[in-house]
Amino acid sequence: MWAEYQEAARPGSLGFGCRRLPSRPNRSRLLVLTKRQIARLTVLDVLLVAALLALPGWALLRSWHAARGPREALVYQDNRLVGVYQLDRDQTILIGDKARPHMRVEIRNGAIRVAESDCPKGVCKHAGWVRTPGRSIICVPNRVLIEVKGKSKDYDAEAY
Amino acid sequence: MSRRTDLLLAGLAILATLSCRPGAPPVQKRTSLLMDTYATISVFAPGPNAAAGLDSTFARLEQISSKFNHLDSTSPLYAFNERNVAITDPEVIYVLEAARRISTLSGGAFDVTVEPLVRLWGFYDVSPALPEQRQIDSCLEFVGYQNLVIDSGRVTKRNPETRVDLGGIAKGYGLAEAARVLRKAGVDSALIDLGGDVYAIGRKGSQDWRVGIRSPRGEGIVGVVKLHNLAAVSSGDYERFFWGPDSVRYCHILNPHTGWPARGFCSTTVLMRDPLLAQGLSKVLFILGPEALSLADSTDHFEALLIDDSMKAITSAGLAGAVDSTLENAARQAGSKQGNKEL
Repeated sequence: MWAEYQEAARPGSLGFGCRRLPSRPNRSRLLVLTKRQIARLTVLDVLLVAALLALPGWALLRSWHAARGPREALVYQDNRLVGVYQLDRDQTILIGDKARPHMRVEIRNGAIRVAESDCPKGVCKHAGWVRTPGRSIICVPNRVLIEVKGKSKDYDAEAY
Repeated sequence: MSRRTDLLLAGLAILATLSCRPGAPPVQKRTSLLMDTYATISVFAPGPNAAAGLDSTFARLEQISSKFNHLDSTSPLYAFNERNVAITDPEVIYVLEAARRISTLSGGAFDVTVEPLVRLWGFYDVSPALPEQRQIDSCLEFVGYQNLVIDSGRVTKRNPETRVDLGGIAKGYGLAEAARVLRKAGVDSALIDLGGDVYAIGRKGSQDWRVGIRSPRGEGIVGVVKLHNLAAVSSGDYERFFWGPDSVRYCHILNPHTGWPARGFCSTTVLMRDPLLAQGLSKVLFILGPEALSLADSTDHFEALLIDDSMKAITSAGLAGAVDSTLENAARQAGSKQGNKEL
């Protein structure tokens, strides 16, 4: 039967619908349920089917979120994580004493920069706006590292 | 529903769940502030000795950071500069010998005795500024690698005013030492990043490590290179610089012959097995430009990417395909062997 189906499916043997294809074998109807079978479905069966349908969707959603989801900036001082900030929320961060902060960091339009710093060379300010995951801003005198986290970069490190 | 269908659906559900799990082995990553920058080491598929290996490596880098910092009052370089005390530390002498080799090869374009000039331009201070030409001329009298005498395990100086700054090469030594310590600890797949100077140990699983070369202007990268037991070291004018009154960007990489910051290129990157030589050569390329690509014939083979002030890329033949097509790209054949030889 299956061999006949394959033969019929061959282009040379099909005369533009002149010949009707034979029905496929019963094995191919494995997942097609009859009314009788549907009536016999248990709650567990329904849950199982629902889970099966939901899992790929969930996996796709998770990978999409990981690749395109909101990026965040991790701020370290003295090798210690002192804050995590979402880059999709405009804000100003002060690093150091509240009365006399060492650095003023800005987040605007999904990017982060050091707007002001009391460090001598201003290397951190020269870094400008940073938005790409994997990029960082370093201020050695203030012992501060600002690192943009995300999943979209396709390399392991940057040479600069 | 038949038991067979149930089993089939359950099997598919398990397969779907398994396919959602991240399959790649983990990367153990550690970051620390040292050598005037942040150092990050990523170990791929870490074994039981990885944590201990990272401990030893960071301890070693701390040691190097202190020993090679000429502004650290405990370092042999500080004593050499300030009190004319001969250098006897074998490790420092080893790096000074490597620096002398690069100086000789480049005709003095790379020179670790450039310290008085860097000081004059104010790059160690808060506000770098344009000095007067007569100040530059008087500094140039003390600059010259020939003023260093390396003999019988001692380094002395011919001119008492000569001073040394190994900042242009010490990170390269740090990369080499970090790789040695990690390998000794049994780590065979890791990426060492010392503030943008990178060395790849082995491969990341079945693939090479991928390293983006940062664009010297604006954000983003200009290309990706694949590394495997290889260093990628860059020099540029975009981190330490100031704008002069003439609206010219003056960077911290000084030409030892003229006493002025090098001009013409905004970024140079060297790919080479030896990170120590690579770091020196990236400075040489920054100062001399593409003519220095011919040094590949007289040193271990290297590949290089130079980006000039107009964002035009000049590459050695082996890197021609690695650069972003948005850059105007001119592959340069530096010697017949270039590009055909395995790095």
